[in-house]
Amino acid sequence: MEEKNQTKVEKNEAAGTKAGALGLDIGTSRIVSADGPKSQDTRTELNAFVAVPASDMAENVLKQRNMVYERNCKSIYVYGNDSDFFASFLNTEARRPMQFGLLNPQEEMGQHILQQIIKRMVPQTRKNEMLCFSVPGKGQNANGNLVYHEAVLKNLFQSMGYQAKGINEGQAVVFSELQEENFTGIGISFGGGMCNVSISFMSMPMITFSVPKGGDYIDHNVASVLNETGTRVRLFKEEKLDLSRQPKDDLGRALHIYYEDMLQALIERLRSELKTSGQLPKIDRPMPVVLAGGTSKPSGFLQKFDSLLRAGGDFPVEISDVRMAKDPLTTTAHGCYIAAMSETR
Amino acid sequence: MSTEATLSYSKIVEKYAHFFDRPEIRLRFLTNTLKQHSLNSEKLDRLLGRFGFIKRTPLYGRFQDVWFYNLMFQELKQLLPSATKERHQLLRLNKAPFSARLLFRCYQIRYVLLVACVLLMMSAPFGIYAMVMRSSHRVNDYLAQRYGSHKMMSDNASGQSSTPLNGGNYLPDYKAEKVWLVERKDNYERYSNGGRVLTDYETANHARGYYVLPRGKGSAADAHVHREPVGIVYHTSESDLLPFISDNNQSIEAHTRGLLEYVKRNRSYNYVIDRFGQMYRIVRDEEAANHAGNSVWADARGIYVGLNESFLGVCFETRSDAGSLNEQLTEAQIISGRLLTQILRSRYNIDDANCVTHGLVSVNPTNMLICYHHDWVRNFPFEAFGLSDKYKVAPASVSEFGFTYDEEIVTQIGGEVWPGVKLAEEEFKRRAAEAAIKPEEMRRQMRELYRQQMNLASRIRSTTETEVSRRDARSKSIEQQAGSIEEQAGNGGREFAPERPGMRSCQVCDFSIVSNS
Repeated sequence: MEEKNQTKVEKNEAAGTKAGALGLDIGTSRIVSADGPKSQDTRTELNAFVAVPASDMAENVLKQRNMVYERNCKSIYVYGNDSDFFASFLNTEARRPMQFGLLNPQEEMGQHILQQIIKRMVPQTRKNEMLCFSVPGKGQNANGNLVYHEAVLKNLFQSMGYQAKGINEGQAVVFSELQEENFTGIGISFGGGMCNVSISFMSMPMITFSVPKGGDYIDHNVASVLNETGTRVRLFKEEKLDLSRQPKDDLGRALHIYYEDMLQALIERLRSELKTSGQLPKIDRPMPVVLAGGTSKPSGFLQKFDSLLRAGGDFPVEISDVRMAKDPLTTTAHGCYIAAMSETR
Repeated sequence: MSTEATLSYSKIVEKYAHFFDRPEIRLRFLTNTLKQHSLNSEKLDRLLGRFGFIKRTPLYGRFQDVWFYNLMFQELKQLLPSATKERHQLLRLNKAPFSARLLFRCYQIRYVLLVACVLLMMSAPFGIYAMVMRSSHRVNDYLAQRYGSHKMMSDNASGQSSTPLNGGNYLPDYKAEKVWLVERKDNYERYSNGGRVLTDYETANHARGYYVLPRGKGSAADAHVHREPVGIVYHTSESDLLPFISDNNQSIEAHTRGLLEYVKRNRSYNYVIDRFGQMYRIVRDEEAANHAGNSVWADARGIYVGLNESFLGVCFETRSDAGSLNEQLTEAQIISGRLLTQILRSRYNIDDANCVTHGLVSVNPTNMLICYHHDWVRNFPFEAFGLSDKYKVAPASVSEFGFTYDEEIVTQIGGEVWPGVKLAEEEFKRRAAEAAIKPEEMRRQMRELYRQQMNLASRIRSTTETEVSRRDARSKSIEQQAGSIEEQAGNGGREFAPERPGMRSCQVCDFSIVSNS
């Protein structure tokens, strides 16, 4: 039986998105679009969905609550920002169209849902506008999938009338935050699925890589060791966690452990890449490090990172300062927007 | 391209990236410039693949730099706002280094700079020439001061204001260079300015002796008899001239020899410059030559009547054509004339004001008209001789003694008198008005004064001429005695007569020989 999807969009589709160059951060947990230089020029959608068996009653409830959903003969899919509320409502976990920064092969409808979320944020265009979207860096066992991921998204944007280009997520952080340094420095995006790093020299990405540990890795492991739900862990992490203070309970302690583990893994990889790579030119001045992404939001993250970075002895390059991005959640999208604007003639 | 080179270019680009405040524009600038430069370098490397030695030359690096800067500036120009005001505002606001802003400004006005450079390069030789000339003048001044001649020159030139009545057009920078005798041989003298004076035809005449009449006072001259030459009068020989071509070399020289013999016999000039530019001394400088006859000139010290006594006569072997503006001297004569003028001015501290031509000083006392002789009444190349234009100077014959001219003279000298005469006439009238007498009356008085002055001059001359005739008689007897000795010796007389080295060296020696005999 042929499945026919019906998208019900009760809210204005792609509302508020201006025509012109566009930057898009396609993260594992969130998709952020930026169409202007200011923070108010950004829109965010959760990159998640909740599926329930198709029934008229369920559909009526969704209609009444003005939710975004899609229905086929088997299921109703609630996606985007409404998915979080709907998951809580059903006391279940929202599912992810992406995993570890790439398309999630385990989700049959993942690619389709991702397209629907993107279409809600990005308007159709016929002007061949420039659109830059974030892609993760090379990581362990992810190289082949990375090509596929980038190609699928590129095709999608091209079908929407854009001239699309993938920008490394870490590099997007550099574009957004290191203008005064002429885009020379280290940009790190701590995302939900992974951490992306770019070492940039004069806007040229010299070294890029990703570490497959991110917010989801922390949430999953903490939930696993403490037998908690992932949602509770995430809510605690976003609201109460302070990495600069000693943890008072098990949840806090576990989060400290896994945060430290993620940071250690990243810093080790960074050291190793800098030592082994011969691509980096001799830079005669210290480089800044910028941290961005949702996983870097907890209080004390910056100090934690800084202390771990300097703890391991001499770093292969001299670091001038470690700083947080002005708005860690929209930094990558903003960097993509800058890249798109720079490509626009 | 090497890593160092990449880094160095990146640093340059980085400086200019500060021109932009918007991140996307800055990013575009950085990306485009570095990418384009990288592509260009690769292309160049491919092109020069077989000619690796070019890459090793220092010029290659320079070429790459220039290419890079050009590329970067083009990118800058493209990305900066096109409106000048907006662009300037942006450059001021942003933190671009001053050197970067300056260089970009230079790039923007590169065509103006190019034109300025071309003009500068074109004018540089003139500037250098002017500087060299100025320096040489300074050196001259210094040397003149050092060796003392300058002081004497300034006594003449500035101390007593040699400016003539109308302040004639003197060359302000020109001062006589210090010239000295380098070598004296039997038949020539060589001077430090390259001048070479031949003395084959040198002869003696009576010693100079003249009075100087105070200017504008209408009174008789002071009693002091002056002996030194104070000026130069330039003449033309008015001899026959052959076409000045190489085929005529021998004939021209033969004509010159004839002229020199004649001039020597008549003691006509102190110097003659032949058509090949050779300078001959005829009458020695300390002695008067019969070159100027009735003549008048004046300087700041006073008026000179009968310039034979007070001025040196320099004659060019040429003919004057008063009605023509054509060049009357050969190139060699002009050069030699300048050299001889330098020698004489340096030796006797002769002021520029006293270097004149015969036509300007010659008078006829019988009818009280000027221009009895017409040589160099126009066309004399004063500038080429480093002298000021005396045609603009009022002649003292007219301004002081009231000499005039008639229609016949005007016709003879080409249709009009020289500008100085007009000035002199006005000056004479002014003086008459000041004295409250009619010009005719004043003219009559001044004629009388002129005649008195002439009488005085002739009195001195007769005294000195008597001395000369006595000396000549003694010399003749010496020559006869020498001739008889030579005949006795049977050597044909070539070693002793008629050349007399003693006569050539100086007057004192000459007299000593005479007294010994």
